[in-house]
Amino acid sequence: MTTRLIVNGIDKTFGDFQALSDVSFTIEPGQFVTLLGPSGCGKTTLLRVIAGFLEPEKGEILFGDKVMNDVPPNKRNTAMCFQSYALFPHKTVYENIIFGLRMRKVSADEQRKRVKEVMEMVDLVGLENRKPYELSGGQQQRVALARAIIVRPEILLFDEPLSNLDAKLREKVRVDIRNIQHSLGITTVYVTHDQAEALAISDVVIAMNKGRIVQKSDPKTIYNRPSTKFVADFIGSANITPGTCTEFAGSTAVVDSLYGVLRVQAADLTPGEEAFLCIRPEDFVPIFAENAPHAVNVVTGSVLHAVYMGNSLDLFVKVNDHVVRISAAKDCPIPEGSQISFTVQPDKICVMKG
Amino acid sequence: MNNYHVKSQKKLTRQLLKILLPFGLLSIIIVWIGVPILYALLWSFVNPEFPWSYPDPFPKNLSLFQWEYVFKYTTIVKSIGNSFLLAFVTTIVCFILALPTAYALGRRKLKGSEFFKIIMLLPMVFPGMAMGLFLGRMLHGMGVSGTYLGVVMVHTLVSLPYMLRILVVNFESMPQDLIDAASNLGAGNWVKFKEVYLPMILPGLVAGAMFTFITSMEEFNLTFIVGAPDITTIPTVLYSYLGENFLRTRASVVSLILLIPNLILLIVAERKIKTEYMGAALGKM
Repeated sequence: MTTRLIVNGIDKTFGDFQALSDVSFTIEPGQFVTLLGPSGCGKTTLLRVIAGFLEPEKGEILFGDKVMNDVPPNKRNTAMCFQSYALFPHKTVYENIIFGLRMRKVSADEQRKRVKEVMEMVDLVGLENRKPYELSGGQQQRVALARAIIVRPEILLFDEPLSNLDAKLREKVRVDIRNIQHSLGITTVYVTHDQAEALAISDVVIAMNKGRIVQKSDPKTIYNRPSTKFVADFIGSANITPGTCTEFAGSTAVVDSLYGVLRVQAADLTPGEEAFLCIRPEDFVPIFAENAPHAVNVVTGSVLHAVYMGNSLDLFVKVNDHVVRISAAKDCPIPEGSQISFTVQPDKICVMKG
Repeated sequence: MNNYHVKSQKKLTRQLLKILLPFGLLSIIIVWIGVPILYALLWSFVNPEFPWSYPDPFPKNLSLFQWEYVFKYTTIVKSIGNSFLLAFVTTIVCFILALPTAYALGRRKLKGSEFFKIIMLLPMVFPGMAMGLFLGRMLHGMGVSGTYLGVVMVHTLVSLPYMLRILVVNFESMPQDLIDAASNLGAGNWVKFKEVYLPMILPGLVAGAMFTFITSMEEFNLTFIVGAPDITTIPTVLYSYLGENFLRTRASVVSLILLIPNLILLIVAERKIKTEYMGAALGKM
């Protein structure tokens, strides 16, 4: 039942606008994959190509070993949750949910059984006869989810399904979606522009920019080892500095950067080579008297702003005329205007070639 | 006078305006529509033995004479039948023509669809008589003058814009996501039409049908030019009392006959549209 999704060399243009160029990737059966990128990066277009609403100019979409290009959307056996939910306003919750089963000519007994099952799964029991406009946003979202999973699709598609919910509910529903997807084992493509959501929910994150795939990695790798400046900047916050390699020995490079000379653990840098360094704010550690002697990569600056975030204290530190962001422990006694030193471990610095 | 006083006076004036403005408008509408209807009613019951003339505020004697006369000695019964038949058929024809056209203009990104949208409204702005004279010649040439077919054709021409305009807006405002969701769940074209498009445009369809029906019922110019003398409708009978042999009493009777069904239709349709629209409008889509 679970299906491998293969996207192979997809091009899609709208007039002069190249929405997708040469997009290729494979999603293993049962994987939860997120397409992440800023608006206009082509992620929703790609989702619509997979669903069959849009026809690509070039390339192939395969479900398993079946080429789907010429299969119309109503025969593709995908199920999509829309950003707008797209519930039929004139149908009740029950009628909305069984729509897909009726189209598949599932027997009445089976219909009843499966509706009961999914209604329990998404916690909608008792709302069968309501119309969509009588439900809250969260309930509508769950009806949309139920309507999609009840047909047991080969591929489950989500188009920013949580963007109309408030922050608290969003966190709860994304866990629900993840759990349901996990228990059903349906191959899933999930579109979002929210990087935290993408990291929290996916097996694999595909970062997109300007119609191209920039990086495809698991959440940990994409956060810790972004391959380009764009990914580093888009996912989480990052201190990015250009630098020039001055020495390379073993697996350690010495790089001259805007923040000073830093020792970096890197696989391949040659002396004289230029690259970008990405350092996450939480990887900078303020130095106090007790841990000072062991420190490498010591950087010193004056604190411009200290912003209390609740779970951390965010410092904006002026180093050589550049502002460095540091995420310190929440009870750190660092006032604005003070001089501080901080350090970063060589293996926490990510080297990016572009 | 201090500032506070000025402010509170302004507020009072605004509140008064809030009450007076709608009340005033309502009164004007009641006077404009109500008074003529009242007079038509009174005139239709005037007993010809006791003419109603200045300065009597009301007729001296009321009778059903004019009503009986109109129904017994004129073609009114036949004309009423004609009017309803024509309006009914016209509405159906408009529906059949407008549905695919509105779909094409509203959902498909056709080249020049903006141009077509203006073209389709032209019959509404053309003076009926001017259009009728030339159209009459043409239809006469086609041999459909004085036939039901001919009259249905011209009625369709003048009523179609109402139906089209409403349906095009309906189709345009339908979220594409809904259609996509239906096909995504396995619906083919027929199911999409029956279970998504049709319920969503139903309010527009009812409104369009109402306008079409009423326009056809009240259409005179083209009916007269194309249909007369073989096909008479309520308006052509009415106009025949307004010409040289002007008979206010009989004209009153006929105008009431024309007015009452339209009024009932308006009220019924308005109810239906309201409840339907509420459902669609409140659905968070």
